Amino acid sequence: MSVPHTVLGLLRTGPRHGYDLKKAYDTRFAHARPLRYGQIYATLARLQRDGLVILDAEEPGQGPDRKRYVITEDGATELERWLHETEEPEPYLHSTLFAKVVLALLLGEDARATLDAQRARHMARMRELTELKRTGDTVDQLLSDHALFHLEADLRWIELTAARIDRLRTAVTADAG
Amino acid sequence: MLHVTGIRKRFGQTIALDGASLDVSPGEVVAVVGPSGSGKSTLLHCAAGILRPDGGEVAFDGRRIDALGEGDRSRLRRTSFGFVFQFGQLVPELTAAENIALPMMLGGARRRAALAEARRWLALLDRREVAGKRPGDLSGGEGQRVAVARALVHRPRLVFADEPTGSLDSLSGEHVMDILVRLAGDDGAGVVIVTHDPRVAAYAQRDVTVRDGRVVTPVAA
Amino acid sequence: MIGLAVSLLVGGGRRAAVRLALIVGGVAMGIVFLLGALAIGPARDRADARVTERHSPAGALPSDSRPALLWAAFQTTPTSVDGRDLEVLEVGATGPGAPAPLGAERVPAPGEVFVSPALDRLLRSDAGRVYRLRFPGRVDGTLGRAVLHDPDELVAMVGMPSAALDGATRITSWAAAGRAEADQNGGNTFNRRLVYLLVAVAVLVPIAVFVAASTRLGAAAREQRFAAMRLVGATPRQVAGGAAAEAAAAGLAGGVLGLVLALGLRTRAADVSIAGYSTFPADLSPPVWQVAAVLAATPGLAAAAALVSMRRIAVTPLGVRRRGSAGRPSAWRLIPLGLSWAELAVAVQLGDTLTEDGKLAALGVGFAGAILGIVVAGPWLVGALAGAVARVARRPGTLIAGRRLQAAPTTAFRAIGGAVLGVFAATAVLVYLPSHDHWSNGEAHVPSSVAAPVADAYVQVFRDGAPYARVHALARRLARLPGVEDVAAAADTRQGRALFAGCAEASRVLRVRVHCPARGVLADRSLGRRAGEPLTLRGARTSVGGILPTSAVSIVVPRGAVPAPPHPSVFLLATDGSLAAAQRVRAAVTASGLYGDVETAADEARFVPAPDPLRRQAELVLALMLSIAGCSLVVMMVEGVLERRRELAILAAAGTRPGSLRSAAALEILVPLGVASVASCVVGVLVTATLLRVRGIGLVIPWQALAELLAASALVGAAVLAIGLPVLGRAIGAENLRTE
Repeated sequence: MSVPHTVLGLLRTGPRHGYDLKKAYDTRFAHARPLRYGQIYATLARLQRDGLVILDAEEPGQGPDRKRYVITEDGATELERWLHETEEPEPYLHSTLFAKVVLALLLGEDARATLDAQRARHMARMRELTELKRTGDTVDQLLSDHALFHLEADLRWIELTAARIDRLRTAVTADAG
Repeated sequence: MLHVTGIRKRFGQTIALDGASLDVSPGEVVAVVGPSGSGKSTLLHCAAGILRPDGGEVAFDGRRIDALGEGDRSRLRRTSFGFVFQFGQLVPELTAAENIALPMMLGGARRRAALAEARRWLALLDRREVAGKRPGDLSGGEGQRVAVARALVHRPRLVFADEPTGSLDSLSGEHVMDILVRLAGDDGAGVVIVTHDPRVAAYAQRDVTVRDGRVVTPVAA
Repeated sequence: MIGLAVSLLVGGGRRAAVRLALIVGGVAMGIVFLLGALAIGPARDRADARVTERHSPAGALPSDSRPALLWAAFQTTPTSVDGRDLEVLEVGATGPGAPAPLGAERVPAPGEVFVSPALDRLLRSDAGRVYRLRFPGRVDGTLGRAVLHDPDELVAMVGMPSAALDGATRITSWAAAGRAEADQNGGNTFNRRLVYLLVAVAVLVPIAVFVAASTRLGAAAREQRFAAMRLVGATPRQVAGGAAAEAAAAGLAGGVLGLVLALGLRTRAADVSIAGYSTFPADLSPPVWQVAAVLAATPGLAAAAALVSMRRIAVTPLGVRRRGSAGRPSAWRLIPLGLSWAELAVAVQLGDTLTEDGKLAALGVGFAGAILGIVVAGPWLVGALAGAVARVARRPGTLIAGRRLQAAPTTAFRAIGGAVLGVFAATAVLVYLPSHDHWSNGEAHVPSSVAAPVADAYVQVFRDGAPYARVHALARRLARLPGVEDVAAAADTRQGRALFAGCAEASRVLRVRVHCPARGVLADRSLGRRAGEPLTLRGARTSVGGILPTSAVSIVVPRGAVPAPPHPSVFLLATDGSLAAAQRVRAAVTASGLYGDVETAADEARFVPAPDPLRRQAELVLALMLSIAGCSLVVMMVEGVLERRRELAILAAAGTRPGSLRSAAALEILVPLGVASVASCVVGVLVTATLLRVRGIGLVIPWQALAELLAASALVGAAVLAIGLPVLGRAIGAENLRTE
């Protein structure tokens, strides 16, 4: 999963201090990909360099925790692009997909459309592999099968998540409150 | 070839279909997927003229089949459609060859000719030896292959399959799907597969998702 | 165990409830028939004993001088009223203190008439009022059971002056009368009871088949419940015990219901006529120990049957397996039928070298063997035929039906077995009776019109020691009766059937012109009228012995005019032909106190030949067997359809014409029923033909009756389809496509 895009997504809900960001990240994504404390600042620094976030007017006080970050116009565009882009069907995809769904829900976007689009992309890949399996030799068949089983697992997760999207929305928005 | 447009169907208080649409072109293999209870089987039953929808249109070759009487729809199903179900479709007292010959005999073919054609299909399936066996003596996969042959033997234009691999293991299921898609393709028949299994759906050229009685069209990736 | 049985009984929804209802109903039906069979034998014995006592009561010793009841039965020939006899008893008392007659509280005074309830109803009806003229006196009392055979009997007791009954039996006490004679019927009684029991068994077999078919209802769901019980830890013994307890409970319920039904039907016995007559409810009381034994045995038998059927399946926690494959019935099953036939053939060959008892034994064994043979060979026949049908079938419906029957011929035959046995038994009776009648009637088959009497009325009196004056007085009285136009006196010659009369008198009474040529004249009323001229007599002896049927009355007018006999015993009457005149003639004969034989054309014209009781019984039993077999077929067909509803729905979805499915279902019923009916009809004819040959009787095949029999069987098939096919229509609905 992409930590910079996740941070951008969290900032899209409003300006935050680095400490808030770390806390918001940990409640939702830490189990998908744990983040060390310093990594938040490294990521924020990189995003700032690329012009995707800027510092809010600095408040009185000292230390890094006094800085508040705000997403820029470019940052928002990049976030949109990433959110609506489907992922290459490949193994161990779920953390990214999970992050996208949660952020989409957080931002009040249609997370189901995200899932549907991803599902279609998975299906297309499965069709390719099925075709390869039907026409190819035994080695092709075995390799295709392996990939197909993983894709099937992802697909089932996608379908299950789609089925549970309302419960997830409630959970995510409650945390945000 | 088949155009299903905005059909609605309710059973008592339950709304099974609420404006579902589906198009199938000749030679096209389409998977209908969706969670159980979504209405995908009802969509198949309506599209195949087994059930008459409460609203919307079902047209086959430009002919409104939802407006046809039971007798005409029955003839259409007998002559132009083939069916594969999950189980229970073979008549247990008939031999495998007789089961395959049944649709041809129903269409008025001579018994001898029908049985010869049935044996040719068994040879095509590489299962010549089961011709004289009864369904109870066949394995699940063999039975489903016989069922596929039975669905295709009278050269239908369109084959409807409802969970055709539902009671089979993966390997048997693959065999069945492979011959279904291959043999239907050889004849240029369209195929509609209702399934909840993505691996089965992957045999189709495209898939449509049914959710809450509607067909969900995914945004293009 | 009880809890388990209860859960088996009540769990399982509507089909299980229907199943239970059918089983209980079937058992109840069987109990009713069995109790009926047990009761009807003693009932008939009691009724017959009363008739024996009525016709020939034991008289008092000549030395007994106490006041006596004078009892004269059969003084005059019974009148036939719509096929039933109206019988008149004449009674009188020699003095006060004479015992009361049977069925009455006192001796009717001269001029008083007591009548049975059925006769009372007849006399009160518009059509029956004319029969009041039959009695010399007024109706003044009702007769009870003690003098009646059955509630429908038409009996009158006429009070007479003791002087007119000098030939009657004198009775001073009823206590000693009659009993000894009733017991002489012992052997006959035993035979009859045996017949009733055999008939009951013949009905019970199809009922048992029906109950067995009902137990198959919802068998799959039931077996799933057995398996589920095993899964939660029940032992096979517990499951079998539960099933047995369930069966016993159903058997008990059926037994109690049957007893209640039987008691209810008993009170209606007077309204139900079995083989020609009804029964007094009070007569229908089988020995209590027999009733108790039947009721006690039913639950036990039901439980035993359940245990036996459980032995055929293995209930595992994962499902139910049938033990041992049924296997196709082989042609070996024809052997018992062949053996029984061979046995009969041997009996034919031995012919008259056998004693009568030997013949009877040979026939009994052959007949029982044939029945057993049909039961054993039936499944093979159904299977073989189904195989042939499937091989040549050109239509899908025929193919499916043939293969299905081929797969389970035993089940199919079991359902129709009752009907098949019924057809066999009925064929035997239908062939035997006309053959026997034809044989006993000799060469000439006499049409009934010839049997009509020659005059409007014919009275023959047997003087029996009474003075001739009384005979002449009767003749004068007859001549004066309204409606009587002329009376000719004649003398009896041969067996009371041919009479010699004067030429002139005969011409007058018979209303035909009787020429009296040299050789004499034979005058027969029907022949004379039809031909328009009298027949020439070829010789009195020949004509009486050769041409005339024994039952016909003819008049022979011999050479030359013979004057009326001085002491005639026979009177020929010309009347206005009315029923009223006929009754007055009978009343006059009764009032004379003479023993008289009376036949009147008016009465004869109203004669309705009573149906042959044996044939009626056979028809009744056949109708019962066919209807019960029909019920079994309906159950089998409905269960067959419900069991396969998914398969049928899929065939319908794939575009199979509902007509094809219907024809498959119909053929499954009609093929075995039709084939087995025809086959058992043929076997019945063959076996009966052999039986007749052993007895030296020629075969007469009643084609029409046999055709009607097969039509009845076809009708049952049609009725079954009418009930079963709508179920098929519901079963092929798309809702059955769903995977549950």
